[in-house]
Amino acid sequence: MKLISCGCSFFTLDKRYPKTHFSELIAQRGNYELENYGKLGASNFTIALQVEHAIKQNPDILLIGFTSVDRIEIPVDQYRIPDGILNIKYNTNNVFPPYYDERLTTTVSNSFPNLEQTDAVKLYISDLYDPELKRQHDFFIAAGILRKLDKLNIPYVFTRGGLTGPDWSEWAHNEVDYETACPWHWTDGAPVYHTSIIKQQELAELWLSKIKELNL
Amino acid sequence: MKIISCGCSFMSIDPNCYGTHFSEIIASKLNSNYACYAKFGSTNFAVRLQIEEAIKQKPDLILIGFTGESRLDISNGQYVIANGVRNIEYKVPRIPSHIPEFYNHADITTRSMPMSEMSADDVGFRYYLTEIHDIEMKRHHDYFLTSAALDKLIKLGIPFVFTRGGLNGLDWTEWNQYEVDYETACPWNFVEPAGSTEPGSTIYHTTYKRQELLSTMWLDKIKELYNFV
Repeated sequence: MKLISCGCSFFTLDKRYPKTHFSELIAQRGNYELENYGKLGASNFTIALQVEHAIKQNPDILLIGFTSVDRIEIPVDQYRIPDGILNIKYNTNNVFPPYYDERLTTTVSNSFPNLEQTDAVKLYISDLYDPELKRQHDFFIAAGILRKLDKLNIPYVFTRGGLTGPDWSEWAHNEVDYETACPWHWTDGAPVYHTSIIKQQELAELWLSKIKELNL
Repeated sequence: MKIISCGCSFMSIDPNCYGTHFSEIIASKLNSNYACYAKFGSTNFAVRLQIEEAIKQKPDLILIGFTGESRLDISNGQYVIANGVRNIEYKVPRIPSHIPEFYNHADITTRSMPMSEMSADDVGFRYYLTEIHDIEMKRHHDYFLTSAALDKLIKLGIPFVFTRGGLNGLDWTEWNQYEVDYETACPWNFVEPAGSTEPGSTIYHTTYKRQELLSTMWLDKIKELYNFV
């Protein structure tokens, strides 16, 4: 059985704290083979690319966490559509997904504070960026990827994560409880996934309950 | 029966020659109520917002034309998610534009326009174009936005027919049954006369004769898919 998890830092493994992230704990408990595609600073577009790649791997379950709107992609070479997630740099991670090859990457995906503060980035934020328009754009992409999973009958559990505000009720059945099981509420730890090891164990229980509720 | 059309200029009706666009011809042939939400210079994000508004109107049929990726949405006010397409400015300088019934100037926050019409004097835009914009990545963004709209319509059981329009080079086979033939029924392939200021030009870029031909081909696709015709 294959479990794939997709998201930003909250879904990223930390090699300094092996087997402590909730996706690893779920895999261990359910005897799943885990592939973790989480990336520090991933935008929602990048997370959609992760899910597209995951779909091709025929997973038995997908775990997904969406992210906040203050993230964009910056090209460092010419983006190639057929390569999808292979375009995205994971160089700030300390754990890499199986598909990662730095030589194929073309694009940095990161949050505004973590991007190099070039004049282009500063002017983009001040003159062209509108957080609410970006939220609508990101929601269209995130909702679209969930509908695609529904259409393909691929089992998944998700959290809206940092993409709050829009109406997620269409997917309430597949979402863990936002107040208690969204890791964005528990930023109290040193690992790259921002939460404590104890909290990860609690999150694993909550996400496992949702997985069982869905009979996955 | 209610038909709504969504898209950019190619799907727009022309106030100087009402009744000549292929969507209007189809509505007339089907004896339907008709509303045009298409807008000159729309991005695919704006087209997506049009579709969301169309869904709320519970139409019997939506006609959709997607657009090229070389377009941007620029804020000139704070975008309000709840207002959807009402954020988008439909009035375009020097272009006679049809204004849909939902338009309210007080709600406008965003200009949706081709990059070619943006000011090269705008330093922020220039930096964006040279250092942040990647045309293939924008195409991929637009593909996510547009293909997700089609999946939503299918899930909701809302009848539609579409063309990829200017968003080509991607795999549309998953929605093949809903798409008119790209070579013969996509209006982007029949721009005449070239240039929007030439005599005889229309906002939808093609001749009256071509619109009649397009209406026949789109109507054939509608008949193939839906038994209400």
